[in-house]
Amino acid sequence: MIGKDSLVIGQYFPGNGLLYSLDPRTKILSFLFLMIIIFLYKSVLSFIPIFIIILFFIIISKIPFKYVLKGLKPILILLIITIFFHFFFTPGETIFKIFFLKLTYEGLNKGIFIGSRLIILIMISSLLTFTTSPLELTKGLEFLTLPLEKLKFPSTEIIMMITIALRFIPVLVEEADRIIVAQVSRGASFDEGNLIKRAKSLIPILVPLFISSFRRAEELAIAMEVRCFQPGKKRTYMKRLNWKKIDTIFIIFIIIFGSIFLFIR
Amino acid sequence: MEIRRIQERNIAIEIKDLKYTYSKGLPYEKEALLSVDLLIYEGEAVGILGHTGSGKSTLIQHLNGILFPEQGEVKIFGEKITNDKKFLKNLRRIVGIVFQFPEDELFAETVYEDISFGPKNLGLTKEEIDERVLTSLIEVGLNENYLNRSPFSLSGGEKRRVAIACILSMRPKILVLDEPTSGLDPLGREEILKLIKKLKNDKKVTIVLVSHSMEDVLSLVDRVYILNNGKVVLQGDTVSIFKDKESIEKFDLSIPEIFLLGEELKKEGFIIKEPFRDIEIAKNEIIRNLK
Repeated sequence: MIGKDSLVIGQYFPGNGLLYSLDPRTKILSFLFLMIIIFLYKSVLSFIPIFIIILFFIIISKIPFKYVLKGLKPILILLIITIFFHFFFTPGETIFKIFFLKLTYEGLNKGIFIGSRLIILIMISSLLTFTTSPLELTKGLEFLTLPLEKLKFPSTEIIMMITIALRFIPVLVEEADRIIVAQVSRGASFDEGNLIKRAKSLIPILVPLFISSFRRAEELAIAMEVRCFQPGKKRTYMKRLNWKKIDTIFIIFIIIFGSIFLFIR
Repeated sequence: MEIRRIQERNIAIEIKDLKYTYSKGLPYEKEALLSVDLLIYEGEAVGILGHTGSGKSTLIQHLNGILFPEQGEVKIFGEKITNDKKFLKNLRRIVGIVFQFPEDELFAETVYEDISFGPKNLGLTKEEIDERVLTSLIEVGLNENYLNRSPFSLSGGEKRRVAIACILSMRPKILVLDEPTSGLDPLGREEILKLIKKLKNDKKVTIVLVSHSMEDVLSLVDRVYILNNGKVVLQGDTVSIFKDKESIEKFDLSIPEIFLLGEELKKEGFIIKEPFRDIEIAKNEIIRNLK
C-alpha cells in the first residue's frame, strides 16, 4: 500500500508494441545516445522534436500518462530548486524584482532550458525501464560491457550483482509493506511529531527489514553455491538476445533524428 | 435455544458486500475480494478458511482499517470504518491483528521494549505499560525472566508467543490471527493453540482465526466461513461444515483425520456423543465406548 504505489521509477510496465519488441541493446544504446545528445543541444527549440518523439513512444507503448507523471514525481523538488535558482540568480536584464530576487530574461531562458532537459532525461530513462524488464535490461548491459572484460573489468560479476539487486527490489518492497502494515496494527504512526520523532518511528520497520534481508542474502548465497556458481566463469543462457533488422533501422533512425536538431541555435 | 442466545449477543464484526481490487487501473490489477458478507458476534470464535489466494489476508486487513473497501462496508461494533485518524487509532486498539509470522516484526533490544511498543503508542502511563507488559507475557505462558532478554535469542515458539503478547498488550476486544501456528514445531503449535483457547474461554475475546490448518480450525472455532476466489462459498458451524465432505473437498480443503475417525467409528456402531474436535475428546469418547 505505501511502498508499491511510490516506486514507479524503474518499474517495468508489461505491454506490447514497437519498443517492447526491440532488442534491449538497441534500446539501451539509442536511449543513451539521446541522453548524451540533449546535453549538446544549445537551444530549447531542439527539445521540442525530442519531446514529441518521446510522447509518440509513450502513446504507442500504451503507457498511461498518470504512470509517467508518477515517475517524474521523485525529481520534482530537485526540478523546482534548479529552476528557481536559474530564474532568480542569473545575472542579466531584470524583468521584475521582489526583495533581493531578480527575475532576468537570461535566467528565464536558462531555467526553462535546464528544467526541460531534466524532464526529458527522466522521461527517456523511464521509457527504457517501462518497456524493458529488469532481466532483459541487465542482459543487454552484460553484453554491452563484455568487451571491458579484456581490460580486467569484472563485467559478469557486476551484472550478476545488479541482476540480484533488481530481482530483490520488489521482494523488499513487499516485505516493507508487510512490516509497515503489521507495525501500524501495533499502533505505530509515521507522520506524527517532529523530524527526530519521525526518523525514530522508522526503526520498527528498518530493523526487521535488515534482518530479513540478511537472511535472504545468506539463503541466496547457499543456493548459488549449491548450484556450483563460480564468479568469473563463463555461463550459458536460456534466452539469447537476438538482433533483428528492425533494431538496426531503429538505431540509425534515432541517431539521425537526434543529430539533426544539434544545429538549431 | 442455542440460536436465540447467539442472536442476543452484540455484533462484533459486520461486513456487507465487500469488494477490493489491488493495483486498480494498472495492468497488474487483481481482484482479491468480489463480494463478501460476514457477521461475527462478540465472544465467538470464527474461522476463515480458503486456500492460498482466496482473499483471506485481504479480508482481515479491512478489519482494522489498513485497507479500505472499494465497495460495501465494514462495521466494528456497529461503527463503520472510516479514514478518520482518531477513529483508526482507536480501532487498532479494539481490533488486534497477529499477522502471519509475527515474529518477523520484532525489532527491539529487549522483550520488554517490544511488548511495550503497542501500549506506548496508545499513550499510557509508565505504570500501566509495565503492568500490561507483564500480564500479556504471563498470558502467553512466559514469565518476567524474559523481560530483559533479546527477542532474537528466543526459540521459534517463544518468539511467536512474544509477538502475540505484543498484540495482547493493546487489550484488543477482537483478536485476528493469521496462520498462528504455521512454521512451528508440534510442541510450539500445541502451546499456541492452548493460548488461543484460553483467551477465548477466560477473557471472552472475539477470535477470528485465518488458517488452512483444518486441525487448528476444528479444535478452536465455533463457526467457519470458507472463501474461494474472493467470495464466501460456504458457511456454518464447524462440525456440520466438516460433515459435508464433498463441499469441503471441492474447495481444495481437507477434513482432519481425527474428525474422520469419529465419523468412521460412528459407522462401526460406536455411540459418539461429542464430535471429535481434538485428541482429548476422541480419547474420552473411545474410552467411554469401550467400558
